[in-house]
Amino acid sequence: MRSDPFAFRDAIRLTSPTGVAAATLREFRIGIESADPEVIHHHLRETPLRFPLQIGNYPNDFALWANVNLKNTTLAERLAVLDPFHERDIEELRERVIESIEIALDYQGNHQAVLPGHEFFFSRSFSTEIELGTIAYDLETLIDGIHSVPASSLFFHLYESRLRNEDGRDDLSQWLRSGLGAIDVAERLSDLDFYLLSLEDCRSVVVELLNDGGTVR
Amino acid sequence: MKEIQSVLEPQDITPYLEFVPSWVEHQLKCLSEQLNGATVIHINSTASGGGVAEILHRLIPLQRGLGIDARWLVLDGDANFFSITKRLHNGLQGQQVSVSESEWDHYLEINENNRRDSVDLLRDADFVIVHDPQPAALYTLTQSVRGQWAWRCHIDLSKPRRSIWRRLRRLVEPYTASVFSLARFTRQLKHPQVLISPAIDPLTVKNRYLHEDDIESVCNTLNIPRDLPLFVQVSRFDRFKDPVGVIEAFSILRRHREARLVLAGGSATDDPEGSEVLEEVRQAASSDDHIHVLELPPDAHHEINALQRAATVIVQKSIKEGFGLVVTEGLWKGKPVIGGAVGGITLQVIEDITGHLVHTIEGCAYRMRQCLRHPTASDRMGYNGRELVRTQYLITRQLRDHLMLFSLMSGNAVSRIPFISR
Repeated sequence: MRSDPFAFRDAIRLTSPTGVAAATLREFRIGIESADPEVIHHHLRETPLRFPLQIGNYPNDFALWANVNLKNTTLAERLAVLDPFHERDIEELRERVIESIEIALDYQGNHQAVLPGHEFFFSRSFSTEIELGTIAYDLETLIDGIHSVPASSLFFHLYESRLRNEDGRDDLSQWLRSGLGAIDVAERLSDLDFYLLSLEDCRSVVVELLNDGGTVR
Repeated sequence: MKEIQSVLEPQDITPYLEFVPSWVEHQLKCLSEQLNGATVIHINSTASGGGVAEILHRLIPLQRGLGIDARWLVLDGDANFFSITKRLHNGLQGQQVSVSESEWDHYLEINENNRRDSVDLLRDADFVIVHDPQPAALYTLTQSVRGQWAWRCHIDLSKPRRSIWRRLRRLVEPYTASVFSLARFTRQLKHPQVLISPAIDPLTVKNRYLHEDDIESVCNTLNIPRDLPLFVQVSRFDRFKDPVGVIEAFSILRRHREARLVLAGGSATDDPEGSEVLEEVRQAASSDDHIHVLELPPDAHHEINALQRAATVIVQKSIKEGFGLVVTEGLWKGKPVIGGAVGGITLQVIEDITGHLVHTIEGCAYRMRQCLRHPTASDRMGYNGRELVRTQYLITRQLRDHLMLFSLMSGNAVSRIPFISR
């Protein structure tokens, strides 16, 4: 079974601050309430792009700021547990973030303002998509491609595609299934939980899974 | 305006491919092909001295090497104009300054004279990048422009004097976009703002590879024995860099471990406060012959490179910082960095991944000891640091971000949407 080859793509991004900043928990809540959906997407989902080698203590910008700058680990833990790739609805995610902040406000009150320069700066990203010129024709060239493409391309094909594709599967699983007929490997790949892996760890895990014919979990 | 001819010779990207993966070249070529030989004009106020000129000297030949017709115009102004713009610069960074109505008029008049000189170039360019406040009025003064204009602000606008910013804002808000180095430097503006972080060039004397013999030779010349673990802080003798705090932290470490500390900074002859701080540093260091205070000339790039490579750990215990390119340099040399948790250092020093962020002298001492106690972890952080710089803080990324800026201004880059919102 052969269909079109798999062409690796990449979304090249540029971060765009909105100019809105929060220095206190209350300002943080207001900022999140009024932010465009792209801003929530950027801070909850695009964090791995900035730390491709290793995920820090917390997996998204909101939890990281709560921990590092507000020194509120309780809030950081509540924000860290959100899985923004499992929950596709950005408004649902926004509500859950606000709820966590409101609990913190109820129990701990508004924090003192963080030091200047340590505020939360709400941002979005602009991107343009390109073809990388790396093409996979079979399992071997797919593995070669995964080895050689930028981490941001893995994010595009493995993380974001689960949100983009109607069936919730990533691009690679879809191609393994439809292009190579490798249904078992495709299933195992689409079952893999990438969240909380750094992009480089994700690269290793996927290569290992493909090398082992889909036995890694 | 004067056109700078020395940047017109294109620089091929090939020498940089030694340091970056091959897809970087592909990204750059894809983005530049979309621009189809566009004309880009950079405008600033000086051809030499200062960070902006240094960036443009390297960036423009690389842009030309990618088929973009990039050019560089330098504003012509008199002493009065530059005295006014120096105050604008300081006022935008929060200092109390005063600029009279007649001085604002003179500022606009010089911008107008420069516009008249180069009006055809400005009108026909596809993209114009205006750097900092000096030439900022050119856009509103130039009627019927064909291309897209961006204001590139290299300074910290987080706490500007309102009177200065109110006037300048009127001049920059009509631009298509503005560009800042850090999110905390930005203001709320009506047009899109983007971040382009500073970057280092791996081919410069300060960053290029050095053979062990060269490192040894520099250390011998500077009388730095390499018998013990070495901590190095390279920075101006400035209180915001807290050199005395580093000495105190090192003194705490010395109760437990043998080590050496180098504090290397530029000559302070033209800076009264710098001389004062240098004196304090010498005083604080006088009781320990394991502390080496070096006053280096401004062109001691080779020496700084060698010292950073000789270091076991790089320290940058700033208490206020812009981006902190010296941290980038240290990370690029594969060293763990102990940095003050301020400014751009927090973007580069990722806790326990590329180094340690510290808030106190005690924290600095603790992390110094920890780095020596756990050399394998230090090696891992050094490796991670170099990889971080490779992917995020080399000039090739800065070049790519500029191409993305042009893409954004021409409507090819779009806001990253959350795909599905039910």
